Amino acid sequence: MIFRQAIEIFRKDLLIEWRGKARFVALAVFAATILLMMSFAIGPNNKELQAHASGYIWIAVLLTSTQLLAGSFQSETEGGALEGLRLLPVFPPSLFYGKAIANWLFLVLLVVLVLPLSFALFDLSIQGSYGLLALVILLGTAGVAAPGTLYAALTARAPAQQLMLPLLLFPLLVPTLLAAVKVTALVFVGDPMGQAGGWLGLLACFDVVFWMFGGVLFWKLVES
Amino acid sequence: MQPALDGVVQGGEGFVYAVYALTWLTILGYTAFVLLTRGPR
Amino acid sequence: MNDKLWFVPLVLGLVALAVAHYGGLVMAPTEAMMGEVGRIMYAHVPTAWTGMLMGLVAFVFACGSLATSKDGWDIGTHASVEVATLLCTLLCIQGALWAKPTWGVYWDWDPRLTSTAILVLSFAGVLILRALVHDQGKRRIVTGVTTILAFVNVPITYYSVKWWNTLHQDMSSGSSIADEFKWSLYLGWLAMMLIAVGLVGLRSAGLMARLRREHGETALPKAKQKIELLAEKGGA
Repeated sequence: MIFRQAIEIFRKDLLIEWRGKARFVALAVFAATILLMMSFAIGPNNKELQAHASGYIWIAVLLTSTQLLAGSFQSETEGGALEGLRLLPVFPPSLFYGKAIANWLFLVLLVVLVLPLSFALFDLSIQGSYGLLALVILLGTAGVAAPGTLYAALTARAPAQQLMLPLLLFPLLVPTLLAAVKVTALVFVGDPMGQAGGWLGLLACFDVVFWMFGGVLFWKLVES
Repeated sequence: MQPALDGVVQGGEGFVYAVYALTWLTILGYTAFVLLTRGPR
Repeated sequence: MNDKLWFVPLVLGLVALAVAHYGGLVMAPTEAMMGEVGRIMYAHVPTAWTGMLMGLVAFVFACGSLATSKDGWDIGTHASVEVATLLCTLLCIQGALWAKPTWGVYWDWDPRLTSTAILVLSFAGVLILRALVHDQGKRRIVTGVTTILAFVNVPITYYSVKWWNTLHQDMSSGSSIADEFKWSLYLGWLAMMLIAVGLVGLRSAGLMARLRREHGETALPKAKQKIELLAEKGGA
């Protein structure tokens, strides 16, 4: 029941995003632009760019994610769609998990779209394992999606949402950013010391905490 | 003034006074703010 | 309760802090490794303990606020988040001023300093968001949720930064406080706690009064309407 409702919300969000494909394309182009600007800011030093590539990628993802997340509640607050949803017997945590999983999927897609570009721009190669890369993409974006969805809901009606969302969200995402950047760098340069495991563990811990808290706190939020 | 990594830190009294002064300024400043914004009783 | 009672811990705390700081600044011996700079510890350590405890207090208030839906808890959350933000900002600056003569740099991505700074940013975000949301019911929830998450994140940030920055860990302070001057630290802590409690109390009283005024402004015409409506019904 809870699960079914979450899936329905997820499908609804997917459909909305599919109908407005242009927005997602714009977001991907925005992320690509950030990557390009990073290269210009650092200068044409290939070694330097290569060494910090994982940082640039995740910063691009973070900056783009605020636009993506803010949009995911804009469709709900415009025209009072959220009130409509609440009139239906939807269990609030289902609403949260449906939306969070949709956002997660979009973020994964974004990273997958942006990665090939960064490989070309920063002259990257994969010395570590592809499995590790897949894992860090999944866990890292999950760590952005859950708190991000919650905070997008929190700031949905606040004035200056575009500003308030990153202001509140980014400090929270420090551990995610640290771990994701570190593991991604290990994928690029290889991980002979086996450091990735610990960082993935931290990322998983963060994910578990925020996916759990998110549902409960969102419930509180929607009730008000 | 030298970093502590090689031997005893020399000097740095200015930093000490700055810390204590700042601590008191912060506390008294905020106290004043709280008292001034209490509004009509 | 009479709001003036909050002056008791505040004044007691200020006096005690003066005594404790006199102990640290004047009476305590010069530190063996850090020299005069070691005296910063007598102001810094009590600030650290109090700042973190106020963060915990804010967390408890926030939980209470979400659990009970009472405005009193919400006002307490606002006041304690404010005091915690203030103390943690002070703490960061103290830390930087200590780090400069000791390590040669103001900021060394020390996990304690960094996680405190992150807490300051999150709490500042809470206060800004609070100022933007005008409906008290929504404001209470928003404040509670963001405060809880900001505080829960502190240990995660601490350990991730610690791990991230392991190469620099040799830079730890190695500070030793002379045993006979430990009292100054504890007294300083007690003093800061008393001050913090007094300030949270006074601030809460002020905020509560303001909330009542706001409510009064909006509730009064509504009540009037209701009475008129009842009178109409009664008349008919």
